[in-house]
Amino acid sequence: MKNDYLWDKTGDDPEIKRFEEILAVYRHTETAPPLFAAEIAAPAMEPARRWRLSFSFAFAAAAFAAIVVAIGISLIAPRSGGGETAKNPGSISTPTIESDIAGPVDENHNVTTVPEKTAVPSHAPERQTANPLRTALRSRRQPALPSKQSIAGQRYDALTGDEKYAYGQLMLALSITGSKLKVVQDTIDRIEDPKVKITDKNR
Amino acid sequence: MPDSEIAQNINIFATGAVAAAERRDPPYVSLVEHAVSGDADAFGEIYRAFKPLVHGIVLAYVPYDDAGDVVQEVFLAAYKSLHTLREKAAVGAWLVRIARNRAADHYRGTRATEELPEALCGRENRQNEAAEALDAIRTLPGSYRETLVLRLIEGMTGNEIAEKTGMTPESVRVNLHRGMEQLRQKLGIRRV
Repeated sequence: MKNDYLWDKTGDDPEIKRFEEILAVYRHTETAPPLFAAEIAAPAMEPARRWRLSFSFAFAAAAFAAIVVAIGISLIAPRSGGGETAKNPGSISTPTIESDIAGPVDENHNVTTVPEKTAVPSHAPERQTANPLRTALRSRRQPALPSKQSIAGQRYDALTGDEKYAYGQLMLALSITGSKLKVVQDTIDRIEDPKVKITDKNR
Repeated sequence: MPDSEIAQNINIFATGAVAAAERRDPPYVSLVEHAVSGDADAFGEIYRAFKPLVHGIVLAYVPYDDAGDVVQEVFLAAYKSLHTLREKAAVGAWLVRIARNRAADHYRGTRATEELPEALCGRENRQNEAAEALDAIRTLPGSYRETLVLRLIEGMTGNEIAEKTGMTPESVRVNLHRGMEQLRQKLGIRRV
């Protein structure tokens, strides 16, 4: 029966046999099984690639954290000129210099110099407006920010409300970044754990 | 009901029962388990048992000269991810899926004209016929194409195709007969 030959090669079917003879040239050839163990035995490439990917994630997260910290420091850091400033809204921090100025002429026609502390107006007003962020902050009547050096020495309780707010925002940003880094680390650990089977669902 | 018809029905039933029993106790489960545990010989047995199947599936989509490389890629991918196979009895169907994906990746969207193996160089009539036949098979729908390649090229019987691919024998039979009908039409062959 011709149908049986197509199914299980029983009977006879010249047409099917001819197709088999013609197409036999494309049949697979018997070969020994490949030794995949040698290819798999170099796991350095795959974990290395995973490490590169995970490193790039960690680097990106670290860069983000650095940016957040830099922004936070720039918000809290003082304007140039330093020195103690009055915690008055709108006050301008001005440096002081000591300079010798010409004093009165004595009877011997000698010009006396009188050291005098002179308040030299700084160029701070220009710098104030140069940074729009700082301008926006001052428009909210924020007090002049203390110097970076003084922050370290102050207790948190000594900070103003706005300073505490800025500090809190900075801490929040850092904690978010830290949690993201932890997620990345956990993912790396999970991938690298040989006990974890990677299936189609959790691939 | 005539005795011959009863006998035929019993035979059909017995054939189906045997096939069902084989599916309940597939022969490759233990091989897969040993291969997963690191037994290289077990994976070698799997390779020998399923290479015709994988080669046939790949050949249905990829030119002959490239089929060997793609087959190796398929088994390498299978070797790496065999531990992820949940239904060990369905290792054949799993390999078929990998083979299809690899073949699709290898020649996505193209249907290259067939180049003849060197064994046929100089035999132009046979050369043309073989290439024409394989090209015609490759124009058929995927299920017909694969089944005909496995049957006519790799020499697998219908039962073997069903067992290794996980298809039902009835589906394989339909694919074979309908595939042959369409192949004849494409080649302009009138069934005597």
